Amino acid sequence: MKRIVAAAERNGKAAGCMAADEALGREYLGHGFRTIATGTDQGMLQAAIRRNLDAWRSR
Amino acid sequence: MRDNAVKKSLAAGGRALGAMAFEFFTPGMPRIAANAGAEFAMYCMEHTGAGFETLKPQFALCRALGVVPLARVLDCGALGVMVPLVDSAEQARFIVSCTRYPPDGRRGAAFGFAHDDYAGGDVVDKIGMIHARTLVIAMIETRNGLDQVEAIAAVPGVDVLWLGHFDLTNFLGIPGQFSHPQYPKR
Repeated sequence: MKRIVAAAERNGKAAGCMAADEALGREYLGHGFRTIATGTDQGMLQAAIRRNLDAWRSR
Repeated sequence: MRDNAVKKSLAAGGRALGAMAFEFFTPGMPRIAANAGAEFAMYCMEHTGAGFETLKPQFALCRALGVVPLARVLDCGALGVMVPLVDSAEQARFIVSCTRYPPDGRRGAAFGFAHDDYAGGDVVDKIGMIHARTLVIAMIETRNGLDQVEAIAAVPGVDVLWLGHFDLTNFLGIPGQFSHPQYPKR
């Protein structure tokens, strides 16, 4: 990761990556990644449905 | 003609935060991304089977809503391309050449289509603007790509080096092991 960020910045470019969750995203930003795609559409929908169902099941 | 806010932000040293779209190519998707504050929407064609005709209306809506549409097609109206598995500077140069019109490259030309918002105007001006705004993302996700990362980064026209996190672990022989000591150190 450090090599990719360093090579990009040395050449006046940006490093990017996809962060599956917020914690990973924060880690990537900390490493110097400047282009971040946060989550995937199907992943976020699935997580939201699961969260919703879990809340109902726990009632 | 339309500019590319993501490319401008990155060139100025700023950040770009956006969303990936793999599954939901409905007419509401670009609006949902815009409302959620996404600066770009990256439409994946590598892993989805999504075709040009599916993505063209997505790109049109994105452009109208101020979300920068990125994918692996240009004349469909995307403002940038993300190319997977880039192994060498030679490959990166070829990729860049496919996004530039002659004599700078080998992109085929047609105007008055989605990529210029069906507008008229001077084609030489358009070529200059398209060269300035097109974002080229090279994915670094193989052992060769990692070994050559400095040379790939130095290729003029490559704007972003994108870590393909899963593939990189596969190519390094540590599939899915993101906490493997070899992964963050390299």
